Amino acid sequence: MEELDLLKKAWNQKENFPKVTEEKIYAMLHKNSSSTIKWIFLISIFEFLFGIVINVGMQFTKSHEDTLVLLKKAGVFTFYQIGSGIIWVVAVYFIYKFYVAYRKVSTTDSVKKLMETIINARKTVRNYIIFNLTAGAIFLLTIYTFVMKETLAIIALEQHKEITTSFYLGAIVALIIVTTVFIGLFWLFYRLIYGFLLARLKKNYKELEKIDY
Amino acid sequence: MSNALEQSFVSQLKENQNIVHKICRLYTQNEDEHNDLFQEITIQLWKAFPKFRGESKFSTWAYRVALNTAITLYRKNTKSVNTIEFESGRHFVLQEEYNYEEEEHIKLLYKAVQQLNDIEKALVFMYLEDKDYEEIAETLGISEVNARVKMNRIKTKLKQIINP
Repeated sequence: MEELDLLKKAWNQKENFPKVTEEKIYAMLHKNSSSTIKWIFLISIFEFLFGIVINVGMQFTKSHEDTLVLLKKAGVFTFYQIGSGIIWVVAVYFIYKFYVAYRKVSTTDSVKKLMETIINARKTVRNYIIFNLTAGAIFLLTIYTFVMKETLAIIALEQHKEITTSFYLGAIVALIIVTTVFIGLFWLFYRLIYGFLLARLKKNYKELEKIDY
Repeated sequence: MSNALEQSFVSQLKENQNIVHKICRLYTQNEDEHNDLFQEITIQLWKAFPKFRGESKFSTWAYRVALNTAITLYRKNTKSVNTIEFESGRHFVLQEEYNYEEEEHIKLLYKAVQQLNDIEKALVFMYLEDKDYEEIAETLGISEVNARVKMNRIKTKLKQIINP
């Protein structure tokens, strides 16, 4: 007899699983789920909130007022306003997209479909983070370049020194390196959490894909 | 949600709880994990229950949600992931008396199945539950032909695990 058929015979025998009473089932219904999707959902919400809190927070600080003066002086105020507006609109778009993707997650779908909808919802949040980091980097670099130019011009005027093009270039390269390192570290940290949460799901998804290959 | 719905769910799950236990046995290593997964499956079943229209049997509907929970949603308690206690685990003992040799052989088979990956376990589970390949393929989201091929490979793999 084939191994599995032998097991099948035993499988259908009456087994002494611990009997879960109705009271216990009732109690379970009111317990909190600790599923991956719940964690993914909570972390995603946290990521959206984090982006929003930082944006809003920045607009209420004292230094923000000083920054505005400086931005106006450097001539990048309009760019700053349009840029901020775009970031907000895109954030709302991503939150809506995530909500729609999350609503599609259903445990009654096939295993593969369920995994795909979870990966899809998660990708939306990842894209939001990529967008935020890229837009943030472009935004900061542009503004800082102008602000730096303005600040250096003031210093040059005060100290009667001429600022060379190579000094400008050096300062811009330094800015780019600092921004890249900062974003790189953030991304690494992000990938770690993301990888940890989805490792099992992705492994199983690959296994399913391999079967159909 | 209404009490009537809750009551209907609880009594149906109580009647069909063995299907959940069977999945828990395949996907967990000890009693604590077994109970933990049972609870998570119960929560997921309850969440999905309002959409259960009774078009299929409760057990047919439940095993899919339970499998999805075990494979995709369940987060193992990291403290006990690597402890292999299935030989001592009470949930592996069969109630009916077998002759000693056969019982030992079945224990060995369970041990072998435990070594399969999550997807392979799902195929084995449905095979043991007498599901046809059409349903197996549909549940996993793969083609029927490939489900058959994979099942044959699993059989060979199990033989190799048992008789290395």
